[in-house]
Amino acid sequence: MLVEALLVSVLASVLSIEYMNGHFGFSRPLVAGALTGLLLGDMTQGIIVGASLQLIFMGIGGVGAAVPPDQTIGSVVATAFAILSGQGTEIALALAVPVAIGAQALDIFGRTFTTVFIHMADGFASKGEYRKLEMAHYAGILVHFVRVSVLVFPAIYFGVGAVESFIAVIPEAVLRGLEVSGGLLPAVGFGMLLTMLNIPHLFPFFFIGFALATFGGFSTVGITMVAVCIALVLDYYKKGKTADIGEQKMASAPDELDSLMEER
Amino acid sequence: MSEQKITKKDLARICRRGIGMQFSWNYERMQALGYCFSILPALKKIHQDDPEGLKESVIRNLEFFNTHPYMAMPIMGVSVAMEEKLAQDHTVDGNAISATKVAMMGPLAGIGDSFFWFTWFPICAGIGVSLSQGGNILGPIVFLLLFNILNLGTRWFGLKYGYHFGSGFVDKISGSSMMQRLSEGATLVGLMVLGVMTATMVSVPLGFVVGEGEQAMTLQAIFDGVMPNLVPLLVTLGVYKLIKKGVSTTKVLFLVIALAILGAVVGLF
Repeated sequence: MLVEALLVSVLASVLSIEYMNGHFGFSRPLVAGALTGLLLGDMTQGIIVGASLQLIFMGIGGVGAAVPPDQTIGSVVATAFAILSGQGTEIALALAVPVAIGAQALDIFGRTFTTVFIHMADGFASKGEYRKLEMAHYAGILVHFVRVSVLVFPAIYFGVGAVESFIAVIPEAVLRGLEVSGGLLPAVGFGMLLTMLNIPHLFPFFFIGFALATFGGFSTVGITMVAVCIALVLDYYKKGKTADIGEQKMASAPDELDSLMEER
Repeated sequence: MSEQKITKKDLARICRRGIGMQFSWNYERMQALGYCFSILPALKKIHQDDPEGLKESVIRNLEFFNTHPYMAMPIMGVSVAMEEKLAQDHTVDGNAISATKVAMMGPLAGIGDSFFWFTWFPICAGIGVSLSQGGNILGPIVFLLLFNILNLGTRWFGLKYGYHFGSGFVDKISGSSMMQRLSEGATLVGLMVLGVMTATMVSVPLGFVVGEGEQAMTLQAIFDGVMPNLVPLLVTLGVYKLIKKGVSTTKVLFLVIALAILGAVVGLF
């Protein structure tokens, strides 16, 4: 278990840093689950677990300075448990949310600790030591590496055995409940997203999408196409009302953009 | 217009360094150090023969800064263009540069959050999840490709566009109705996709049996008779109401898990 714990811990650290920097999506449950699976020799299971977790964490993301539950660590640890204990998706669903909330606290700690570096940077800047200023910036990587490892390594190293014996005593009905919650939890993420997409007069489009999928069998891709077309047509008619200001701007903007693209 | 020192290569460098902008994110000044770090090579080039000017400029760029990480790029473009003007002919002063950064970071953060986090990400992830059935590797790969086309595109063209227009960029975005139209369109698409995902990805298997013998029907069949996916829709709208009322997401998550277990214990599922 030592090797597995080390590997998973390093992966979780790297992905957590990617979550804040670059954010190419590797740290989202769908990919994080797949990578954890790849590392532990069962990529298929990793993708299945990652996809279920992705739905739960769909609407949960950091906005501004607010630190949300840590979906990256939650997903990596939960997927690792699912594979190492051989218990599959249910156990991952049960663990992901509590782990994510636990990890959130450490994330906040890390982001508080890095305050030290900005003060160091002030000093380096006033002395003109720019190389050291860059080092102060890079030092943040170390802080996040440590705050992730401190949680993930022991969780995997000591946790898998404990979780296995814990599962054995959970009643059948509770496990069934956890399985059901996997289907229900995406509603939380979607509800959260609905509060973010907050333009009241557009709200009926939520029901249009729902009806098209329920009665028309539309997929996500199909709806995206339809939705983009509706948005373009509506925009055309709305623009007509503010033609004076709008059209002038529109007429001049593309030219400048074109010249920018051509310029080398 | 005076000669511009910053080349495409320098911009590419800012873009690369900007990827690691949040290594040192902290509660006090948030992305400040990362911002300074990203544009440092450009500042060094601009103030090549003026160490005092460079020092002033570095200190100025350690001021509080926070925005959506992709949207920081156009702001960097604008502020580098302004720093260049300051170094060349002092037609811009330091306060104007700081004020421009502050004026841009709020609105661009709002647009970045609503467009990337709440519209584009759910669409890409929704497609990725639906392709992942049975552990298909296509799911994660398609998700990454789709999502990053716009991620990298926004970073690079935002930076270029920002640098090219300099301080004029601010008038450009606040003067036109462009941003509002973009946000309305994105919201419309996001809402429709959410509707589909509510119908296809939320599931409530009601196994409870009503009636006896020949008339026995599962609760699921009864609801399906009224309208398929009715229960997922009601659950999603219920959660929406709760969150809107100010109940924290964490509480709602635990509430849903508790209800699912309770339902299973009493035999509802």
